Amino acid sequence: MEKYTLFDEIGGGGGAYGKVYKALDTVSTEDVAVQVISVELGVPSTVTREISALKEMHHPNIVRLRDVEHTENQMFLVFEYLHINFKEYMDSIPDFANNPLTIKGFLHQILRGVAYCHAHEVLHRDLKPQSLMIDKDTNTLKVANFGLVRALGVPVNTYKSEVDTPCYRAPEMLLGSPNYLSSGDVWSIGCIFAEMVNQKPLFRGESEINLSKHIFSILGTPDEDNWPVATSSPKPKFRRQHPKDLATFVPNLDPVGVNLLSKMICTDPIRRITARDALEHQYFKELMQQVCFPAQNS
Amino acid sequence: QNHIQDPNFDNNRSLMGLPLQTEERIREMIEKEGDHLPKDDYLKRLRSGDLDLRVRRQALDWISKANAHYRFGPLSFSLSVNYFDRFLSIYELPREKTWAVQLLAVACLSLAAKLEETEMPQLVDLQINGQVGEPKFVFEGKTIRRMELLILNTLKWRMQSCTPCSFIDYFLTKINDNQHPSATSIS
Repeated sequence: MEKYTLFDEIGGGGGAYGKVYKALDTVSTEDVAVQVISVELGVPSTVTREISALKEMHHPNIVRLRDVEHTENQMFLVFEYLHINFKEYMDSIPDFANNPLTIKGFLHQILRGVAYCHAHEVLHRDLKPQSLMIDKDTNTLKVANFGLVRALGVPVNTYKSEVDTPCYRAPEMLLGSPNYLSSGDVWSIGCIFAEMVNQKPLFRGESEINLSKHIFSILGTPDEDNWPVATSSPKPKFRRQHPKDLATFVPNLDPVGVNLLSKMICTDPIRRITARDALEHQYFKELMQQVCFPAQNS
Repeated sequence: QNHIQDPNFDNNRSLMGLPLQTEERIREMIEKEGDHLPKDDYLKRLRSGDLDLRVRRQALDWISKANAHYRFGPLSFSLSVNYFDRFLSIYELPREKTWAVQLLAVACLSLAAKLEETEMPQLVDLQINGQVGEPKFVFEGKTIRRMELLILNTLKWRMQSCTPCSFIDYFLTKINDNQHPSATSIS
């Protein structure tokens, strides 16, 4: 670790299993973020998965792992340095929600990063504003905190206890679906989308049941035919509720945006839009024109 | 083509709800597979006796039995073998120490299980219960963990290998008239 000089601890990485420090790469003189992990009891499986997933992924909207070093008892993951997480970023800009184009831009970046993950058979499984990092110099958003990722080849089991942020969790997961699918990530992005617009989480609840109740109170209780989880176990009883008008819950979002949001937080994971398809949605039309013809807008 | 579309079943999704592997992704996987293969001369060295083929077979036999004993999936097995061969092809294990290959096998299986399995037995149990017949060597957890780190470093943390398993989905779809195969035909 002589190559790096460690400075202050930063909370930015939101590292669930190790402290993150700002540091200097003394060779390149670049700022880096170093996550320190104890490996006295062996390299945790979460760390092994995170590193091997990041080693295969190279995308502008995914945090870059620069280096991995270790001593007998500690491991150091050296990431590119990013200023703050998306939660802190939104909180720091009072009129964030007043600029629809900004919201569009960030949503598009999240979707690009996650669509890339999904194309590489990597599920994030813990998307939330705290696991997205912002490069303030370029306003680039990067998906980080891959601690819960799971590379796929075969259907997987859930890691219920590991996923500790229920607000962004899809209803099929709350109701105990045995498999986490890519649609679970899309649900989380939908929640983040609504949070950008409202500046607070769309769905809340301390327990999984309370959160499910809140979700169904807005989107309607699924009936027998479109229940999000196909299991043989008895279904929990929920009061029959009809879907409400989603637009009233995101008053600052235009109808096209509401349409995209409704597709991302569709209670049925089978019918939920994919990250890749979401990128093609009409909502981003304006953004695409700006990207393609910047001169006209300046 | 006039396929009858079932609105409840989207053919563009695979079993995991991930987009079906496209030609582009397959091309990328084939390129990447090269990064996840043993060094070129590995096969030659095994054939010439420079590396002992019998020792490899024994180690793989052990991995296969332990893998079955713990009901690990087929991917854990193919990843273990991938790590084992890649490591042996670039790292010189001390020849006189016959236990070294067994330690390598245990650590490879443990690493593969970390990537693929939801439940992991204790490292020490992994050896004893997996050992069918004569348990020659049993290593302490600490020794295995150090070996794991050596493997991770030697393989540069490229543990998410493309193995034959990665391509099964694609080829099954190809021979199935581009219809995604059902879950039962894969398992």
